[in-house]
Amino acid sequence: MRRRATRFPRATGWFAAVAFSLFSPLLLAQTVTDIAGRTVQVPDNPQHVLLGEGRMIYALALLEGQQPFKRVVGWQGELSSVDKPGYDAFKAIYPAIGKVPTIGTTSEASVSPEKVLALNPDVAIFGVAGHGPGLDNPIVKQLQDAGVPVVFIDFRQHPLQNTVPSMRLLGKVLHREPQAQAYIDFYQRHLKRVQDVVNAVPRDQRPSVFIEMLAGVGKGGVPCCHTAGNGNMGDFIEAAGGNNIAAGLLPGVIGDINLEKLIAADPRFYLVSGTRDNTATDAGYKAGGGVTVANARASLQTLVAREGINSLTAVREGRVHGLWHNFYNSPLNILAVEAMAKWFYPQQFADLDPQQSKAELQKLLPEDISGAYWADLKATP
Amino acid sequence: MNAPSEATLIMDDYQRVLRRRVLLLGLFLAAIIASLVLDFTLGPSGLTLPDLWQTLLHKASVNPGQQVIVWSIRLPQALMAVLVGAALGLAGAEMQTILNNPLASPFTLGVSHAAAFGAALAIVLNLGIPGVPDEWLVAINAFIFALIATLLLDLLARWRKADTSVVVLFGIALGFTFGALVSLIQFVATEDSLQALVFWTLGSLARASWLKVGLLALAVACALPMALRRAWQLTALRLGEDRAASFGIDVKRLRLGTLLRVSVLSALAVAFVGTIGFIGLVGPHIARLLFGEDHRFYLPGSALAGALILSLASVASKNIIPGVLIPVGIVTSLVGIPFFLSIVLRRNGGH
Repeated sequence: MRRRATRFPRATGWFAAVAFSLFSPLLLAQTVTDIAGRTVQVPDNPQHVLLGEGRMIYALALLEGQQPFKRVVGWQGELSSVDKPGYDAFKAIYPAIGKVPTIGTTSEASVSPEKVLALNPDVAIFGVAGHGPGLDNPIVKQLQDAGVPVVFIDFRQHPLQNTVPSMRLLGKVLHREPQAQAYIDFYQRHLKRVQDVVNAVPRDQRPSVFIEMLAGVGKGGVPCCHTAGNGNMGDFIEAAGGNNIAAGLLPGVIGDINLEKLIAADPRFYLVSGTRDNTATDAGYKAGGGVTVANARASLQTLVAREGINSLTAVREGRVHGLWHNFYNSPLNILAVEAMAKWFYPQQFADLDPQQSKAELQKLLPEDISGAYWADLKATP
Repeated sequence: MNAPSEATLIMDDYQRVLRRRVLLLGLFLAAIIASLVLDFTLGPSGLTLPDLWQTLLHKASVNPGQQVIVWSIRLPQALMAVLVGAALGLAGAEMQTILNNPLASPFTLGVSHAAAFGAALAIVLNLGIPGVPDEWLVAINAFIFALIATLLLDLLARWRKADTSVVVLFGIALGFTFGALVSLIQFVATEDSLQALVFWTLGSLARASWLKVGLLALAVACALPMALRRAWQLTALRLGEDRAASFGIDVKRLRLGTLLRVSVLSALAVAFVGTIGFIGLVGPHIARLLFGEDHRFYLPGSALAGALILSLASVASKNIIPGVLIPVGIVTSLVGIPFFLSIVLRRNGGH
């Protein structure tokens, strides 16, 4: 499938470019370097944007004012299943959310190239890893061949390193640079505050931390210890001044460690992440939009009652906290870093209030983000 | 004068072969015990032998973490490896005999795939028998589907008057069908359930618990003597169906009874630890190589060979990357394939 309308080889020269610009706003007006290090020519102010992952809508929401879906011509359909509360929050501001064409269901393998091309996007935004097409997906080449530039962003693989460049890139591509800058300022201000304190703590004095991601959901799977090493949520622990015990164990970013190893390491903090909504009955941590603190805490209590986990010192002494799992793939990840920092260093961060930061963020977002995105096992007096 | 001495010579020979085989069984048993001890003593927490000993003898005197490591993680997992290996080895040996096919095993004839499909229904679509508690939902689903697969094989064996090659082909087709169905479910699965399912199909001993160990031990303890009681009949069957029938053996009944036993054994094993390939295939081949066709030795030999391989695989899966538990199904296949090939190639060379 070939779309000549947007294909525009440089060799044709500025002459043709000017002529073309009279007919089409889709001039390949700027060159950007994406997170994967690729140099991509993108059209000026594209109006038809394809999202390789549904959760990218959180980033668009920070940029697009009240209408995050205005330019979205298609997206990956995973949001409704991996983040139901988030999906519902977006549905409240955009009731037609169910009619946004989907390019697949939840996995990279489910994406249909034909569907992607048929949506005629001006630009496609993909994540370097995740539930949508990745770097090596043949769709990337097919789109480029069809004249659709593909821009890669990343909130997932190296969230702390890539969130700011990804937002800056999106701002540039979507012509929303002031909005992007506003968020970047917010992000950097908050991150710096945490890092100023944390950097002063010598490595050997940092508390040991373990995070069990999607704790308890592996029904028939291995009962414990899905976690992140270097990267993903492990980056949050590192940034918040924790010593992630899985960092030296896992060969990849994500993996499973032996329950025995966790018990033997006996970390000072035991954290979980989860995506269950407020009314869920399946095992797993409840977090995100609309989840009450009481329900989040109750789900934590069930999780720490599991055999093996209940023998951890962190559990017996109450240093257990839960986080919204989707922080791992969202520009809102700064909230996770702040919450962790406050858990790890309650005295140094006595005046840091992540709830206040969340309220500030709410002002930048069209969708409602009220709910327990993190919680503690023990109620603070 | 010549004849009696020749008879004694033959008897002596036979006695020597028997003694050698009994000795071999003993060696296998010793190797399994050694591997079991190794499996129990090696682990990422680096507990010392005195620590382990104390936790075994005086459970209450050590900290709760150590109690959990020894009593809830190491012991059940080490025992589970031996039991699952024995169950799959025995099931594979009986299957190969009654189907008269060296490629028959719970894995190749679709039993594992059927179990995976049952597990997928529970993990991804949350479908299962109502009222079953969550932690048993997957195992029971897997058990039911594994049983259905073997009963289908059984049914076909009856219907086709036990034409073994058709049963084997049907089993292979069954495997592909359930494999495709699992892929279909994977395709619509969410991230967390997909991950759980993939892990289930990789096979892991981390799911071991005392109740499961007990159930499987009971099954093996019942099935092995039952199989040994039929050892002569099964040995005769190896000479050919007609020959066996001429000895007065009801071949059809023998075949169906054995299939039923095999289905319970392999379904239980697969339901508890997930798909573990090759044990059911390789165990019998090692046993046949060492013990020959005499089922009095071939059947227990196959169970012991299976138990030893899986126990060693369990040791490897814990210690290849310290702190990370590589799914034992992966290790088993990687260990099993070279082993299997070396046996097959050696056999070909002998011909």
